[in-house]
Amino acid sequence: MRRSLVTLVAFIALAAWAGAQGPPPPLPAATQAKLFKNNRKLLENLVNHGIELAKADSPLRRAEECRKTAKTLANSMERAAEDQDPDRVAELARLMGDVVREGLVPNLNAAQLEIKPGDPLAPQLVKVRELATDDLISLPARIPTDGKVGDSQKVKDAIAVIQALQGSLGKP
Amino acid sequence: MNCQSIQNKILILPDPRVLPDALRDHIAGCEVCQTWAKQAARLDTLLQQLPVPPAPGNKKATVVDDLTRGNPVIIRPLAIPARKSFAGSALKFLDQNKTVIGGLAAAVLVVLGGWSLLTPSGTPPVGVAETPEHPFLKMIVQRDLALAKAKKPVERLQIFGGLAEDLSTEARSLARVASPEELWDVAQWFDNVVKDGVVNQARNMPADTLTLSAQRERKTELDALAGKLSDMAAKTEKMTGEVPPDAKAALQKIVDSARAGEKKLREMANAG
Amino acid sequence: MIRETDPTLPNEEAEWIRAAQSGDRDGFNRLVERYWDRLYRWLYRMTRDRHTAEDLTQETFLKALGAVQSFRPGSNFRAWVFRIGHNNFVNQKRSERRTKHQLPEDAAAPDVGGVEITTENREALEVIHQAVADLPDDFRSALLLRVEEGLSFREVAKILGTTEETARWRVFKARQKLMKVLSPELLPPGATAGETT
Repeated sequence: MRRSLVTLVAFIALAAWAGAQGPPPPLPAATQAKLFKNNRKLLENLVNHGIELAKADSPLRRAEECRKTAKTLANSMERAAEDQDPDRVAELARLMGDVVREGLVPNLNAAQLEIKPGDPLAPQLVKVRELATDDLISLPARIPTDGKVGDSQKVKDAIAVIQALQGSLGKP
Repeated sequence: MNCQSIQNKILILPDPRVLPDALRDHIAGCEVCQTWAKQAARLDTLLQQLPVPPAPGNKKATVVDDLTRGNPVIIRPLAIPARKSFAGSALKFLDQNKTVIGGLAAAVLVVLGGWSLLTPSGTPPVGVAETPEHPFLKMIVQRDLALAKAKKPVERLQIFGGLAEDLSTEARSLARVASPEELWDVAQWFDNVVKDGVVNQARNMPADTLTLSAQRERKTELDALAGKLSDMAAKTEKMTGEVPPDAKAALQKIVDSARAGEKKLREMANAG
Repeated sequence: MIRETDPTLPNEEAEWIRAAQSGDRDGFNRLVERYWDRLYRWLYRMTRDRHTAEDLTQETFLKALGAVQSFRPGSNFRAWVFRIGHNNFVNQKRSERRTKHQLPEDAAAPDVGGVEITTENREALEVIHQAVADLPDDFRSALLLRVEEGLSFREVAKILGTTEETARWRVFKARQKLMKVLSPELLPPGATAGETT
């Protein structure tokens, strides 16, 4: 009896642990619909960015498209801040950080290797880097520093991560 | 500094009619920013000219009069509910019912302790409304990042195939809850991805430029993706019978786009 | 409504405050005369209702009279009074349903001693009035304190109970929204879109 009980308890504990490793449960339909509604325009822009990214035939062009994608996310962040939704601001900031870190920076670096000083494309590379730096620098001004959004630790952390990426962009 | 940055800096000035030198130099040479600066200045000027209607009563005069005469200043207060001192009443209640409250508090602690052992960590505290993250949004961003990293048409083709699948799955999830306009948007995005993404990338893999083995691989890829599009069409078509009439048109569009894409891919696969 | 244009003489106002704090009602009276219209104007913009604005203004000055002993001499009296006004506005909003009144055509204030309003400006002003009324409260309050009252961002922040950076951000957002909505009205009179002046 005691052994069965121990086995049962162990099994329950194992099942709970296994469940914790699996994918999160699907969202309720109403929540899914609400999230879609909030992000509808953003999603449309991101799908279009994807199509443009595929057409970009050089690291420089891909870098520029990544910059535009990051900017699209920043614009949505600003709107989420106006709507006083710190969770959404933080989520969008994290996604923007991903785009800068995994898309923009590697393509800029690849472009830097390809485009030497004197190359006709060199001014364009400088411009893309400048614009990207400007976008990151101006980000804090677009988000309040106090209130529901500004006081949110999630928002502060996410913005700090993006700010730290400035250095990875290199000097214009 | 670019024009957008300058224009933002103008709006953030204490007074856009007084421009600092740092902005003046750029504005002098830029017609767009000049117009912007003039409009911003005019906005502030007009704001200062907004008329204000006179107060309907004579309350200022009453207050001033009472102050002048040294009378007690009596007013009809606004109907704002008075805030009772909650703290005082609460302390009194607690003091009068110490034993019962102590016992209840102990019981609550036991229950909470048991509950915290059973719930997974990271669960948000009860009662705090959080906006959940949007998994679909994250998926789309991940697809974009994959496209930013992809070097070959075959990689892009696979990514677009995945993106099309994400969109058709999302459409089916939303079919019963989203508005017809929203659903139509998703259908349109799906159509764009199939035409401008999948089919376009397939065109970037012409068979005649490839070795024999590469041609076989190409055919395999195209056939596989054609099969996926066929699956998407079938699943979505099955759902058209289960959704409100408003949603049917959007789902049918996805079915048609998927079938058209499948047909194109099979033609390209067989032409090689 | 007469717009206050004469600058505050700091010594004069400090005298009035000292007098009010030592129980001299005449001192407080002068402060009421100086700031009543300005506060009413701002509260009218916030509430969009003359009656409520007047009530709130009265409520504010009476609270200020009761609390004048706690005012720190040397600090900004105007910001202090406006802060009380803002708190009253917030409380009032919480407790009552707001009713908007359109500005009736015959209720426009004569510009006694103010800037002359041209016909072109009059049309623009009507549009701007509505656009300002449509702004979110926190953007509108910050914008008007900065532009109409001429307060610094720091003073605006004190009144609204926030940081200087947030006050600056709210004014920026308010202007940005208005620029988007109002761009045709903001061209100088006689100019057309696309023309450079």
